Amino acid sequence: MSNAPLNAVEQQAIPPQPPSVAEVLTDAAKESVLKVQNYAKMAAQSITNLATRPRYGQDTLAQMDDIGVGSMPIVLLSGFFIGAVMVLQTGSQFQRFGQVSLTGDIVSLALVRELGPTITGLLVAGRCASGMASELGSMLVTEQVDAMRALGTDPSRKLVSPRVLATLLIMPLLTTFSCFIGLVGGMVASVFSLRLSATTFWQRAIAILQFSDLMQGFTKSVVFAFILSTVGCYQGLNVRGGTQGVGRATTQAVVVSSVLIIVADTFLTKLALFLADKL
Amino acid sequence: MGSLANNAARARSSQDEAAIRFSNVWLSFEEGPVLRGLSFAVQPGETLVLLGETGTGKTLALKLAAGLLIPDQGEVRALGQDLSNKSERELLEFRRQVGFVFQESALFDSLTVGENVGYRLEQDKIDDEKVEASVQEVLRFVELEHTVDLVPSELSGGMRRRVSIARALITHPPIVLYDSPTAGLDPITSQTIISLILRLRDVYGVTSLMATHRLQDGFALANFHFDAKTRTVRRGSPEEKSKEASTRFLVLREGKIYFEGKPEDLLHSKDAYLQRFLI
Repeated sequence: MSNAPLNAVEQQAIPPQPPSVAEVLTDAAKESVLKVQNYAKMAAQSITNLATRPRYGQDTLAQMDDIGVGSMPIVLLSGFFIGAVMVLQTGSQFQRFGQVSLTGDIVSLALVRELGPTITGLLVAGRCASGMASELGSMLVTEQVDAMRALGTDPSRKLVSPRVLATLLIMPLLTTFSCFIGLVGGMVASVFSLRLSATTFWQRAIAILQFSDLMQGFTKSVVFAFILSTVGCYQGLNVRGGTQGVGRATTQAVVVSSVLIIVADTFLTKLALFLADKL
Repeated sequence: MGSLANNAARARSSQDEAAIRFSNVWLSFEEGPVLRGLSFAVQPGETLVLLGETGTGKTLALKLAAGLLIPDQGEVRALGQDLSNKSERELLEFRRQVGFVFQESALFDSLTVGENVGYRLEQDKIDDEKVEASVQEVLRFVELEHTVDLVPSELSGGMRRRVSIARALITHPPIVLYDSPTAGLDPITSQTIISLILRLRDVYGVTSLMATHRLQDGFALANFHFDAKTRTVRRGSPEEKSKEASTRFLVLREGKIYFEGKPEDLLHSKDAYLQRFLI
């Protein structure tokens, strides 16, 4: 009889313990680190794939057409009006000091160093990172990615690398067009709004630019291209939860790539200014 | 399709071991273990029908056999190769010897039927003329030559399933894995799909692993055979069927093998759980 209470205690089922706050935080941190690790692995692989066969040139060209030609209208339209609005905003300030001719300088520097690559990056992220995430996500949930693997094709080589390479090649071109059309927009606004001659605007806009400014814009466009294409592909290939998950991944792709572009822009600007001082 | 028979015969004669062998295979996801120590073997030329309720791990077993998943523990061998320790690059090569028919067909929706079927050969840079001839040959086998220029969205569910079978056959694999090939199809279309599987097994000696929750599909494979002379599907007596073309059943329950045996053993079983499949 003396053993009865002890046995009863032993037979009681141990209720599951709710996780502590520390455990929840640790799990969340681990999950985040794992995501970053997987993203870094996929991004690195998308580049290293290019060194060995098989390469998918046709797919890369098709992506360049989709990303480049497809994004051209929105990039040109936005570029034109951003250049124009820059002139309207800065010109009114310069008028106060009688230095309207400086408008060309400031618009040119702002567009080439900053606004051209950043606005193009954000626009292409909105259009193409979302497109990549939804396309690859749809392929994933309909088992087309598994089918590709079952047919002996590496999805990383066939789906990711062509998209990353195409974006890397196209973004500097899109940025160049954006900057040029932005200056055209600025010129139109300065001629009609500030009564500045087109020749003066162009002369000053071109004269102020140095090699370091062009390199800053070029470098940013390449980095932004890498960010938006790899984030788009990563979100697409990591969809969870069917079609609803595809929608979520599409939104995430735009949000994450846009935020990363703005954050990277800050550090790249600081680095470019530091290097311009040193060199 | 002649080389398909040769491949299958070569696979039989060159290997003493099973075409597919699972040894104490465990596979877990976040929710916990799904496959719990699965062990079975499929002999060359044999058809193994994987039966089980939804979520018992039938599709996972097929994906493990194709090297699309790697077990957490245990060993998966197919065609004499240990898939558990191979790199993804080695697995891509291995999968060229295995055909996989996905449950929802998993056809590439942006490609035509012809491009889908010839995908594997296109990736191998085979001449267009040879690819076209092979595509026509396998599409004739599934009686869908007329759909070569259509896109998957223009096909019915049954036609998509047949195109998926044609795509799996294009490289004449000695092993074909079917993931619920008749799920969601009407009885007549299901019969067409089963007839195709019978033809592959009886004419070309393909080793098959078929996951299904429809017992009648398994019994159709066990009780009928394709007569190459009359080109018709006939009810076959055990004497008429060769030992190699035998059909066995494997019933999975909660990630474990619940029953393994011949169709007649399953038919005469008094087990309450197995009886549920027989109703």
